[in-house]
Amino acid sequence: MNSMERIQATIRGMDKDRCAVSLTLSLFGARLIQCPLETYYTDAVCYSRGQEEVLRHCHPDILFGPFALPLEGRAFGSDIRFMDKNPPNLKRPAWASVREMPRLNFPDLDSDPTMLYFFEAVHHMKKIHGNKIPIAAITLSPVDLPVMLFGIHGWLESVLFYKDETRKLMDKLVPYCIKKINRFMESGAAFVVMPCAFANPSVITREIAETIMLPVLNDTFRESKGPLLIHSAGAPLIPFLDLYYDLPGVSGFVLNGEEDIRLARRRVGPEKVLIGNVEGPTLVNHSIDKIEQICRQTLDACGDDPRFIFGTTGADIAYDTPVSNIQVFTKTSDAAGRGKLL
Amino acid sequence: MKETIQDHLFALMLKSRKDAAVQLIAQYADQYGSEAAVIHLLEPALNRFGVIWAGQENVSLAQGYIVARIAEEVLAGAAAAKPVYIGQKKGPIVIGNIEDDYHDLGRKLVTTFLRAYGWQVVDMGNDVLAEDLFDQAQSVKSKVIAVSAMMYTTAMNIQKVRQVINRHGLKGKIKLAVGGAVFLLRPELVDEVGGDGTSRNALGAPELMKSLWEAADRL
Repeated sequence: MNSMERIQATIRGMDKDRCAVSLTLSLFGARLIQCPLETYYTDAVCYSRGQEEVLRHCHPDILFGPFALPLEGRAFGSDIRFMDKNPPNLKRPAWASVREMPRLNFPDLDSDPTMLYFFEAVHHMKKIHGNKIPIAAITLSPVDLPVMLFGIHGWLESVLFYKDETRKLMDKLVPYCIKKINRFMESGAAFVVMPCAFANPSVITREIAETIMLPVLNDTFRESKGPLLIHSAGAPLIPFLDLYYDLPGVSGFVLNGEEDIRLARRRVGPEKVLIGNVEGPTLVNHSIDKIEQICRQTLDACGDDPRFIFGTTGADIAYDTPVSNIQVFTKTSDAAGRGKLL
Repeated sequence: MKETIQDHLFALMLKSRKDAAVQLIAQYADQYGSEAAVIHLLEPALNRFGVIWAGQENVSLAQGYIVARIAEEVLAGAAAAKPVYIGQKKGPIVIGNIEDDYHDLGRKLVTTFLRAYGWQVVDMGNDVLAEDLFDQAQSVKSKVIAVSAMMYTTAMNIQKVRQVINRHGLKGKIKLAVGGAVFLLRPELVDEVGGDGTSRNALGAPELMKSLWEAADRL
């Protein structure tokens, strides 16, 4: 079985040779090809080359497009900062709040260099790897895109105190996000992963989730031409899974580190893919033995779930993580085979 | 059991009803005075909210933010007559997001609650170098530097603050408080970056500063 067949079998809940492995190695490709990060996050060919090395050294079953969400903020006018060993960071948002935004100029998805970089990176990877391994795009959902326009503070303030302006903004963001998701699909993405911090119980209340975020996600996903995964964005998602599990087009969820996969399965039913649940950035500090122990425990507990994909969650695996620490995932899954570890 | 006015305020905080909460406290202040409103109404509700926030009982960032705004508006209103805060005036605390970190919401919440509890705060903003935090603490004679970081990678820059404090022979005399989302996920990071203490949420910051300040005083 190749990775594409393994992931497709997982989505359909069919038998496979081993549990599929998802490793968030967008950043790590830059290290493997020793590419300066500003180049890596602006040159789609360099990015694609980095991901070829990721596949060669780390053997994941999914390759990710650029996981560099602040870049999209720059396309809207926010300032970002490129880092030495981390993805770019939002330095200064374009506006302080939704009320201070005189008008919203959307980047042209056919000509904006930043947005073209995202699409071309996916396109290059698809061209190289064909149907051997799925390519997943990672992009901002309409509920988190405003973070890159106003910052977390400004967006929270908008959601809490300027509801009419927030709804008007969302009315504009939804068609843009639909078009963006569909461009990723046309570029060769097998699915699109959308971090949704502002759909998460650690950030918003259930009332806000139900009255503001859920309708927006529903409107966006209904028009999207391809499978979507909701990413927990660094905080536990399970308490709100009942709100999101039947959103149109959503094939599954990327859970937060150490969230209870079996509890999540009960909440979403048998049809959805669940990805989890080892916190990727922590791998840099663990010994190989410790990582192997975590992997074995996770696979032992959930490896027989037909729609479970085993791997890392949260942010990117850190730049300085030893390659051997990452390789443990696929090795352990290989050793576990079809069912539980022997 | 009859709902007290304190229960009512607490319920409004949980439901994120800022305007109703501020109005309730204002009405109480009209009847009993601003200081009484802060001491008998706002402070107990804040303390109670802090307990459930620390216990992680489904308290969201949005709820914490609303409570900070309630405290800010009430104290600003009270201060129009005369400065009012909870407890005695103390500090100053020097606070900032560490080098390379631009996630300022946590820092702003901490600053709001520290000021509500009577702490003077020197807020140095985002992306502050370790040396600048230290120099400011020296300049205003602060015994606590509070540093925020959201991500693991930027949190590691806090080590530089620990190094500069130690290099000047002031370990223990200037305490290092650390905070931010990453410390909730990875509590072991507090030791790793050389922190002297942390708080699970912004409302726990006044108590943390008090204990660190007193510990520095003992040396």
